[in-house]
Amino acid sequence: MLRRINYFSKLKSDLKNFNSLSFKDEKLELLKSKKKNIKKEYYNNIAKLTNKPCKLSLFYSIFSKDNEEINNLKNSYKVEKANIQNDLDEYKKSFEYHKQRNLKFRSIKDLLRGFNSFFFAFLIVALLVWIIVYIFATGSGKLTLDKIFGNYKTETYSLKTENNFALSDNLDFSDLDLSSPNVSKKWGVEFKLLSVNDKSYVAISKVSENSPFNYLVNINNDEAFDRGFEGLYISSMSVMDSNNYLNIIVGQTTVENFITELDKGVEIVDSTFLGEGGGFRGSLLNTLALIGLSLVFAFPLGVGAAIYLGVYAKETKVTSIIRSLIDMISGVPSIIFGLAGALIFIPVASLIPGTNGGNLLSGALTMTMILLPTIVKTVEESIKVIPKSLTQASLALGASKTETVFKVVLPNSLPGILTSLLLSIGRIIGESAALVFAMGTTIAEYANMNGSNATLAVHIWVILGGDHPAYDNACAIAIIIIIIVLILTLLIKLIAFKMNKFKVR
Amino acid sequence: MNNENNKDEVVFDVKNVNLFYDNGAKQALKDINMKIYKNKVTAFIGPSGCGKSTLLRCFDRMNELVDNSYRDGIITYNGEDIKDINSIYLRTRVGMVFQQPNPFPMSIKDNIFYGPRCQGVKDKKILNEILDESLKGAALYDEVKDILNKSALGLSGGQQQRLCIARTLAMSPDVILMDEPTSALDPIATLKIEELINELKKKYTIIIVTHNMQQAARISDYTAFFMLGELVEFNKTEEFFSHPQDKRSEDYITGRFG
Ligand SMILES: Nc1ncnc2c1ncn2[C@@H]1O[C@H](COP(=O)(O)OP(=O)(O)OP(=O)(O)O)[C@@H](O)[C@H]1O
Ligand SMILES: [Mg+2]
Repeated sequence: MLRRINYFSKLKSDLKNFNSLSFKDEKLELLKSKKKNIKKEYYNNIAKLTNKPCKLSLFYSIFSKDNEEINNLKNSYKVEKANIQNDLDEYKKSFEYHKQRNLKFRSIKDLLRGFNSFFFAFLIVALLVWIIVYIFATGSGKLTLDKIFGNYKTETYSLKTENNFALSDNLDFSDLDLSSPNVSKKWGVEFKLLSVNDKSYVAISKVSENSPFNYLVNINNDEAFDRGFEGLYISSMSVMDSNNYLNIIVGQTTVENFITELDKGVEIVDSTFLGEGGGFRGSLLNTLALIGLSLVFAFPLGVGAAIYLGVYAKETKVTSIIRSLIDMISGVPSIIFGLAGALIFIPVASLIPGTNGGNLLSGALTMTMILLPTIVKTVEESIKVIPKSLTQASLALGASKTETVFKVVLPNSLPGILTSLLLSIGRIIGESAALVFAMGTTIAEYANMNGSNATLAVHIWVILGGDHPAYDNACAIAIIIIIIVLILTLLIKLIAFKMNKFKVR
Repeated sequence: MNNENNKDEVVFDVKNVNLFYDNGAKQALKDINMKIYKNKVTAFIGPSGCGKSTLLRCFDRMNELVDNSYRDGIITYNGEDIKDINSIYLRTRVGMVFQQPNPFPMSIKDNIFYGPRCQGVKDKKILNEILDESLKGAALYDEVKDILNKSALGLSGGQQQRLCIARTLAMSPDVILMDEPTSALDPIATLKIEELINELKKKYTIIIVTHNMQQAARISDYTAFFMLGELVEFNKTEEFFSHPQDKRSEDYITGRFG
């Protein structure tokens, strides 16, 4: 009897507690669960009262034995149930009201939030577009194929006609358009205007097969000139006429004037041909070489370390220390790596015979140090998200751990591997601070291992330094860099898409 | 507990097995003794966390991959201590099907070929033979025969689970371990798998963990009931469900807990 009273007072206090609950969904949940539990509790209580286990079969026998008591209990249970049902209905009503009232506020809030995120996204995109448009506008004027594949150094050639030269009158120049005003009918050369740094110079566009210009020699050592006149312009030319008067013609004139003056002469005593220079070919090739060499070192090391950390290593103090070290290293500014590279790797790189100072190798080793943390982290993360069930399935099918790594883990972490590849290439192309020390700032004409070499980014750094920063040339290089990155990104996305075809449904 | 005059052939004999996790801080199996009989379905039942999966994983030594765990006692496979059997070889004899369907993100074909290829089978003819046989064995052949080169992830959950069974059959194992293979499936897919198990037991020995007692009663020949890491009762399924010997088994069957 006492127990029963306890039971009801407990129910009542529960109800009180319930009413004092804050207005939230938990109230609804509680009500629902209570409604379920009340029946269970009721059975259990009978079981307690009769000191017998409450099996369903047993229950009926007890039921008949203790009819009156149980009927009372049943009635009060009904009352409680009705009360709770009442509460529940009331709650639901007021909840509906709250729901509808809330709707307005929420839609306003959502609008604000939506606007916020849209606005910032727009701002960022606008900023990026502005930068890119600016770079393209400034640099595209300078970006010609000659620039991309041209020499950096200004070329100078001093040429004259061969010794004992005598100009003959009846040479056959029929391979030129002799009616054109741009052709010297005496020398068999077609000229054109070439604009260099906003000034225009006379330059040679075509030389006839029989022209004496084919036999010009170097003024200093009488060696034949076989470079060809492509990309060269005439700075000045000293011509001897038939009366042995010397006439100096400057190249900065019109083609007609130049030809008139030239045709008076019978021998070229001295001439200065200049090549424009300022091309990026060397830096471009060096950048590509550095990308290749750095990836050859960094990639196997990085992916290997990631596999070790992600698959083989047990979680111990040592591995957690390694991980935090990797995190730390990726935050170190690259100029410090440049310093370390200069101190450690330049001596190593100098072991190659015929080199001294920083070169492609020391640059690549330094870049490897910079790239490793990113590669390890990105690849390890993508290994970690591979469902364990896949590796377990592989092992359960009798594959060894190595087979599992190569057949399940690596293919499935391909997105991460490709991402790290992309990040690495971007980092190599963009790195300048470290390479200034570790690889050098000499702008070369071709990729080489011999010594100091600039990459495209260092090239920008070099031409922006000094008294006359060449912003337009720098922007032209920036365009090349952007285009390389774009092409690589698309390429890697394409590969990822191709290899991912079993993942997409 | 065991029928001593049982004439069935013993595949696995488990003797005094204790298993500890977390460097011994947690004992998951307590002195387990039981026998698994050839070409029979043995069902493991019991409340959640009682060690069913743990014991199941002992049979193909997959539990050794769990860090900081160790086991004592002896488990023999056809009379030989499994510790003396190369684990990779053991896993080709004892296949495993997991709770969640876990096909590889490859084509259906490559899923089946995965195991045989790891064993060095390269001959196209043999591989295709294996493909047909295992897909038919898993009652999946008709459904996928035209899409063998499509991604396995494009199949329904039930088909994926049968593919996982087919993948296991491709190893031509001796024993198949199944850890709640139907718990992620709808009733129709479940029924298909149950029918399949009834077929498979003609050729394979099957151990299946299940939470569904009707399922255990429907498909198994022997039933083992676990509680808190102990093997409470192990008996022929009809015996177990009609005359439970232990009070705890009776309570569990009648739904008092769990
Ligand atoms: N890797 C692990 N590390 C530590 N403890 C574990 C590990 N795996 C399982 N356990 C513990 O061992 C006990 C038995 O686990 P097990 O997975 O075998 O239970 P189960 O009977 O399969 O349960 P369920 O029916 O929920 O699958 C559990 O108490 C669990 O907490
Ligand atoms: Mg389990």
